[in-house]
Amino acid sequence: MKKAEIQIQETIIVIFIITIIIGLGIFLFYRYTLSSLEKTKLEYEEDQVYSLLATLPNSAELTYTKLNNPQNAIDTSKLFNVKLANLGFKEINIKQVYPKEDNVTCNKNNYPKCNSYLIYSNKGNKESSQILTTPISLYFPRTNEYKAGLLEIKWYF
Amino acid sequence: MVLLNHKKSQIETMGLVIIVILIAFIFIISLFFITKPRASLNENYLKLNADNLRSTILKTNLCQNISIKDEIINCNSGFFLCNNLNSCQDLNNVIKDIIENSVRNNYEFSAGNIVVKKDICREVQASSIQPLANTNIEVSLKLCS
Repeated sequence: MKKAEIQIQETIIVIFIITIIIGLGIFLFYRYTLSSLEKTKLEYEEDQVYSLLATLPNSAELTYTKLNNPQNAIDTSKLFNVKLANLGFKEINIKQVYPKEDNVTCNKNNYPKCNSYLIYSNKGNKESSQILTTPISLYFPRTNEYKAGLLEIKWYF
Repeated sequence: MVLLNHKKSQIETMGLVIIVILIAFIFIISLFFITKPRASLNENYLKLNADNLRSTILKTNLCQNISIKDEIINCNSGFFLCNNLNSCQDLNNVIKDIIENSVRNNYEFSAGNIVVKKDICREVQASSIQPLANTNIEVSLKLCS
């Protein structure tokens, strides 16, 4: 073979190897971007849940007000008719932790002899889930009592 | 002589390029550590939990119209208004029950004679303090790691 032919073959091999390296780089970059986007999406949803934990107990749909002043407690009598806006794939529960009651979901018939109120549920077809909670005060207008509770937000991803 | 100088300058250029690449790498890695806002979000969440838990504990009724806050003040005076409480230890147990059903952290709760805690508080992650009006009692709740 002539020297020029050998050089052409060398060039082709070099271009081929460089193309493979660039292709591999693009693939790795794509995978990294995809996983980073997934992570960002999860973090964004987590931020939303944190924000919801802070704001939901003070929303007009749930909070107990006396002479129009919020009392920093959830009015349990409002929990049967609550209509929350679309909050995504989440399940929101309010549970009573003290005094202990039977582990029964509340409805108008067993209230207040129950311990959990399901106020929002949209599971979609997601499989993984994570739960965040925060303590809250529950107000019972019938007996004019405050009890200890927990706001539990389970979000699906 | 000219060839030797040419090679030397090539090596110097290579060295310069390597230094620039190293600096760029260090800069990119440091950016990764600098831009981490998640920690403050978790701190805010723990602070929210501490504040909510303190408020919930004080507000909770032990019997008709008598809250834990009232009985904390009474405990320091040595008498109770609720029949289901006989001593400050009973009140301790109620507060312990509420806290342990609400958070998973180690904690330290104190209010006058009442002191409730779980394990050793190595590092305070969030705390919430509230003085009780017309008393010298200060309610303090620390959530720890």
